[in-house]
Amino acid sequence: MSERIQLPDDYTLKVAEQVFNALVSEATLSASVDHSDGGKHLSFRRLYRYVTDARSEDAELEAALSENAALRADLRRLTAKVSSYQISELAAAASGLVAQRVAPGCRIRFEPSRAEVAQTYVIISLDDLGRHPRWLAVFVDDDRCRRLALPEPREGLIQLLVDSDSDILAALRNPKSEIFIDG
Amino acid sequence: MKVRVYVATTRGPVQIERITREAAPISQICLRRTTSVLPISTDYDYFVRQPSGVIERILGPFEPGGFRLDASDEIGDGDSWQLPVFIAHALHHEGCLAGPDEVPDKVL
Amino acid sequence: MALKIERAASLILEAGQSGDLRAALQAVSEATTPDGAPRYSVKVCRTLNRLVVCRAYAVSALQLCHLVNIAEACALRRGAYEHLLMGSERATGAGFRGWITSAVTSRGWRRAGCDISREGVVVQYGDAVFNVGFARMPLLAAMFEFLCGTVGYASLDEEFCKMLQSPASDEAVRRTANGIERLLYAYLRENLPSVQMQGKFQILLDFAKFDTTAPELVVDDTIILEFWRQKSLDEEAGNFRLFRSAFDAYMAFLLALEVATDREAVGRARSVGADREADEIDVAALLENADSMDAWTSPLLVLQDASTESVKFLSKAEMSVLDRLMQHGPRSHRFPWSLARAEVFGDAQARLTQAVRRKVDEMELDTLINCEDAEFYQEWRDRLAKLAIHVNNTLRASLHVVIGSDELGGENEPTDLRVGHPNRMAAQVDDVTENLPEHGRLEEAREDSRRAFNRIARRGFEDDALHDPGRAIEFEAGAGALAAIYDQIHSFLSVLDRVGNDGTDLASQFAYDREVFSEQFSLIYGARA
Repeated sequence: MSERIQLPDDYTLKVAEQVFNALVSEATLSASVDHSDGGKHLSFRRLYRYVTDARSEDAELEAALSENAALRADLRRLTAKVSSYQISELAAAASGLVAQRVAPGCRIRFEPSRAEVAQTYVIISLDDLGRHPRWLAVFVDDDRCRRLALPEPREGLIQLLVDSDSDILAALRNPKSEIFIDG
Repeated sequence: MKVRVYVATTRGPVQIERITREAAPISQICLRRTTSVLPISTDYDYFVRQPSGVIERILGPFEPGGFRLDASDEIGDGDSWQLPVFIAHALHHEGCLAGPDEVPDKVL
Repeated sequence: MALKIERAASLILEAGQSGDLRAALQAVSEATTPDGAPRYSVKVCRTLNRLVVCRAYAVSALQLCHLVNIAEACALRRGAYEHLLMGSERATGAGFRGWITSAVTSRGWRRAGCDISREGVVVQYGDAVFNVGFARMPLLAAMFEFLCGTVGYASLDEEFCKMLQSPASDEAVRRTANGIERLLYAYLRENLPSVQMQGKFQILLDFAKFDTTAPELVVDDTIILEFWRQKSLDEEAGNFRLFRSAFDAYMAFLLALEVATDREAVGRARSVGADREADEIDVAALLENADSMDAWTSPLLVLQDASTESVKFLSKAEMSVLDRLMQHGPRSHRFPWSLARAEVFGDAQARLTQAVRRKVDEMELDTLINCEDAEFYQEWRDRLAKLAIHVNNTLRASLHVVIGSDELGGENEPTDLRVGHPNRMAAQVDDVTENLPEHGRLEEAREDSRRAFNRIARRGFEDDALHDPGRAIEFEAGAGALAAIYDQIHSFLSVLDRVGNDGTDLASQFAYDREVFSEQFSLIYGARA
């Protein structure tokens, strides 16, 4: 039992060699993909789910985001793409904590609680009463992000209660931050 | 006179610790004075706000805003909280609602 | 026609493929739907691997750009193309058709120039027309996901955003495709270096030249064994330490020659190649052409797709036993002893390699070097034969669903099950019913398949399969694969038995081979006690 072949011409051998190299590379890659534990690579699909699913919690991804600037850039870009409202950073003249943030169709204002001085209301007003945003994301320096799941609106109003010293509030009131809201 | 009001729940009595008029427009029930807002807050807001809500209709008018009610524990689904909450609001309106640190004259 | 190297073996070449590249491909192959099924078919993942390895992504990059353009033209929602390409359901042509059709039905096209046809979406760019087929879209979605994991979403989206500023411009689309190609080229230059397999092809070729003066190449079991004996100790020859590597290398070598001698296909691949002047060949196109002809493709690929869905035709362990035989198909019949060696002593060598890594004691090492626990060829042969019976039973059980679905579909009662179904199924009918008068054959075949079905307690072989047209399609595909698998096992065993009868029997050959392998293992891994 054997395989006997007329010795091909040089050109055919050259083609065969390229095919051989491709076959072996393909097999090597497939086999190594099958056995790889994936290492620390976080897929884009995971990032996509994190952005589009309001309640998504992913501690591993968040840890990776804190260390990886390119991943944070992807997060910011994707968040911007899929959001309906974008509140840009305020003009250079603004400084200190702002009382409200405004974008077309959307306004965010901050009201201190009278009952608890260490707590603040975040009130989002939407012009389009039919919208039901599910999340809010705010980006500060170096694309670092804070996210909030949003409750159902009441007649275009969404109200949250946060600690006055919380990171999310500081980010929202930071004139240099950029805010995105789903829709 | 100070009156303490409880809501009867399947997990036991829940005290209505405090009612505050806030500048924030939506009325909410918070857990133990924290930022944790109970799911029943949506129903509470309907219960407060005109035209559907009885609180503003009967006890109002009030300055613009909403109410913050602080409860000592979770209040689940159902409507049984409405009567004690109404009573609490009425007492609060008269300055008679007992806080958690006050010694009540009566308990409801 | 991808060549898949046995998992436990070392690889022929660890060509500096980076962990990032592997992880990006793995992310695609492991993407799942909400109910845990794979989002992409095995075929799509293989094709993507091939495009990457052969660097043949130009056409797909262009198609992806057109698809992005189409998505933005039909959906009002921001992030349209991301939502289209990153959908959570299984990536199928029908699924993409549904998404696009639904978007157009509810909102219409946002701009003129796009139209849905039977096969896909047609986009008009001035005088140019471009068509993206629905069947192609799963691969494009996989490619998008791969690109996000390699060149990065931000870079990719930057290119797309520039393109979408002029969505009606064919030139803008081409420029974007070129930009994406450049990004991927730069990435692969770092992560998939073009290594010429360390001259392995030449080494295999030189060894196969029967006579340096005669214009003939000869590859047989003896040559493969001798090649391994020499090259496993020769580090300059590359990594042929494992017998399986040597065997698989020769199979790839012969396959490559077969593909390369198809003059017509080579001519076509040359004419579309990147650089005609430099005699460049579009290798991916050549391999694609070989796949699409009647050339052998492992039927396990069909089961790997189907069985991960809702029907477990064969277990992973069973498929692993058949992997090499199915991968090489009819070619392996020409190398029966090499296949036996690859399976039996290849397994022994895998255990030996692991033991060396674990630094086991000398006694255990000697046991492994002496191949004392190696499976006898007869046992291996019997195991294959038993598996063949199981495959046949599963095939008969599948008939039960297929027959049932024919009837469900309102077809006229089939008077002949041999019509419209794979050959082996037809043969199965014959096997079962050959002694019956014609009018009883259908009923007996039905009854036989029903009995076989009821004896199988595996996922998918439940009564509700009989009422599910979708499941019936899976069973029909699976049955075709099982038929091919059975035929291969049966044919191979016939060859093995004939070789055993004509020359050395299994026991004698095993004894000889064990001596050869033990001796070689002691040279490779350490002296025998």
